[in-house]
Amino acid sequence: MISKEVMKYSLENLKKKKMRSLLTIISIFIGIATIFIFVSFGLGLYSYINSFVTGTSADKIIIQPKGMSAPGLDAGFALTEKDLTAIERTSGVQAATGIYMKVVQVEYKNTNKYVFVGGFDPRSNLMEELSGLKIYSGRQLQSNEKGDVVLGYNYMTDNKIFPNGVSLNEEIKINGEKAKVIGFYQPVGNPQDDSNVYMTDDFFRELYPNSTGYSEIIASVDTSNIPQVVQNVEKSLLKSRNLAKGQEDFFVASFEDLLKTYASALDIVVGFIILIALISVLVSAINTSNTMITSVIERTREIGVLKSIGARNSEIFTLFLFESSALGMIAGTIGVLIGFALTELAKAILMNLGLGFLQPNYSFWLFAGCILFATMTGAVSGVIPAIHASKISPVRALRYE
Amino acid sequence: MIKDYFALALKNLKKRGIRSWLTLIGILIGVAAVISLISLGNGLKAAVNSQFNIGSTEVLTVQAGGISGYGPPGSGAVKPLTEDDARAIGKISSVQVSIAREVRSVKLIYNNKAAFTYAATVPDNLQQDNYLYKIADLKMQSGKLIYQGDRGVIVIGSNLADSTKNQLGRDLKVGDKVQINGGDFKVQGILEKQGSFIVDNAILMNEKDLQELLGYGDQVDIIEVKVADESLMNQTQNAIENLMRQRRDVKAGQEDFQVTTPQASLNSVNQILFGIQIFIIIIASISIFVGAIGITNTMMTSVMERKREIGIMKSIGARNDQIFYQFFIEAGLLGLIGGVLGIILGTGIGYVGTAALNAFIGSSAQPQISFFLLFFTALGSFTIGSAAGIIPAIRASHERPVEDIRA
Repeated sequence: MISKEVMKYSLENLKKKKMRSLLTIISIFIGIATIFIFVSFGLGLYSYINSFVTGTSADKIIIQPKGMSAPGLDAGFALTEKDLTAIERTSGVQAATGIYMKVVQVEYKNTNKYVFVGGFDPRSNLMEELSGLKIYSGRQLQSNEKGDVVLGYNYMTDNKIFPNGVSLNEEIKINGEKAKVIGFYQPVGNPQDDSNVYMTDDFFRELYPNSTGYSEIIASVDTSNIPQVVQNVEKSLLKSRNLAKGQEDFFVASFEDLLKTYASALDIVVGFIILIALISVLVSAINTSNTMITSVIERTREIGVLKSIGARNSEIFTLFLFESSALGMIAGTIGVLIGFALTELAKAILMNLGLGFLQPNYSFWLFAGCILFATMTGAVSGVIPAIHASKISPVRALRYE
Repeated sequence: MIKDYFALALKNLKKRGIRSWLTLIGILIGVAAVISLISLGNGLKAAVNSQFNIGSTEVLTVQAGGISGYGPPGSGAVKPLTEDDARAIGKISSVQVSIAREVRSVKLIYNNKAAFTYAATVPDNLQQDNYLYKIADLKMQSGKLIYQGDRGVIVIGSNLADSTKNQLGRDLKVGDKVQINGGDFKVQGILEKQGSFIVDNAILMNEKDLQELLGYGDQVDIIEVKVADESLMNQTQNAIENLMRQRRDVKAGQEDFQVTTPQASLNSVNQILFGIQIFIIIIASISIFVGAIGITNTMMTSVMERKREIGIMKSIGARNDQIFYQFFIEAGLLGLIGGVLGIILGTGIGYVGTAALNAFIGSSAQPQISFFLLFFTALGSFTIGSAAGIIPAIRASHERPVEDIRA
């Protein structure tokens, strides 16, 4: 339908009106570049969230006490040993382990910092499986081991937590008590988890004998029906805690459901920013319409000549539609390239600021989608002017000045 | 003279009907987006600020160091404050009163259902109660506040009383009996809705009652200090910091506690909000910029179309600068009309949006659209429009009359 001649004719027209084509293209690619930048960072954040879904986290459910604050801060409704046993005995649960959490003050070379400490039973590897924790250097904690800790990756680096990075076998003080660093975990990429201090549950109980119980219980379950297991766990916990239905002071969720809530919050933020960026695309679409209308008016005589030598209405329509789509496509391509360059620049800047988790993520579909979207914008903007052009009566057009 | 330019410009714009409108719409949409986002942002800011509920400016708060921001005050503290700290602070000469408070997560059971919220203590001391209520500026929807000697009773925030928000399946009224962490309490009062998440979900009870329920010993989550006079704020803050350094045996620069004013925390929140707002407005401004490109484009075309006209005007004596001003003002007028229409639309969106926001989060924010903002937006639209017209206007003024008339 779109012949070579139509293409050549349209492109030549765009070239002839260089200034006008250029301004129209600029107005489209600005919006496209903005959208490209935010979508690529949005995609990057999604893949960051998804990176927590490790191969071994799919079968995990998490049980946390309810309360007004993050786990480990609020001792009001801690989970007990009895709850852990009840969860372990629930049908569908394969294994479960309790995690202690607490905010502590760590001291290293006279610098104090507040961080979370996690106490876990090294015989169970559920926590490491859930968070994707792997030893980077040194060794893993042994069961019953006291006085030793394994640190998150950020402790090794200068100026992340302490001015000087901590080395293996050095001592740190936790709320004034000495502890020896026997290992470091690999980075998990999340500034919170990479700043944690890990110790055995026995050492935790020794340091904090008044602790009311676990801040979190992790269980691995039968993956064939996770929602059913979640319900079973809720029931057995209600029973073990002597509560009526509707009085749950805990919540049970599969790990992936928890992540989904983060992802949907991200949806809103990214969606909102793109919506605002879309306003500029709308404005550029109006500009394109304007350009095309001007172009039709200017070429009224030309259209008349074309028609009188046999051009059909549909051909005139195609001619102008192709012209506006071509504007959109050229603008889209430039927009994507500029967007890509700016995204890479922003990435480098964010990296330097230590916000390494804010990384863009590109896919072929992002590039193709943005160009396609710009082309569609151009095409849609051209529809009315093109219809207008196709309906021009040749006799009147030839008379037009 | 200027009037003539405007009249002529308006006539020319009218002549090109649809094209002028399309050019206007570009600026209109951009300005509407920016104005509505500014007014919504102010509404949002007001909603956030109402969370802070500052009734008095002569207040300092003391908290133990720890990870904050994940829960109520004191919940991430490593080495909690004590009752003795509060008493010692109370003895500082410029301190009028020092109130030790607890904020703890509790479970409230009513109608066989449980709600999770937090309980904040009210001192068992009449003088302190009076100061506390003056600082917090609490008003009652029904019933009465808790004072010294009121035991076994609670005052609840408006959300807790409302069955659609309290998860209890039924409204809570004055006189209703509830269980809190196993203890029996009677609702003595319901606070007026404040639009603050913290106040509207709170339970207030006598400090002795919460101590009996939870048994936290002499730990204190937050100390609220009323300073005798606003001019003594800095001095008092230093005095408290010195005192606490001694009591907790820490060196300057290694404090494991912090003394702040509610105003300071409010300011830091506002700073973040401001940053977000600026960011969003910059993105929205891109569309104004795109609209300006549309003006340049239209004016360019206009100059081309009116070559003959320009030629004639020049040959009958129009100076270059007069031609320049004609196109310059025409472009500015496009911007101005678009801007004014955009302001009207944006203000409308601001009002509707803020009403929706209020209905959604239960706040009572007003869209803050000042005359100042509107005036400068209109002026700005004219400036942007005329700036977009500079290049076309220069071109027009440099046209050569002889060639033009021949064209």
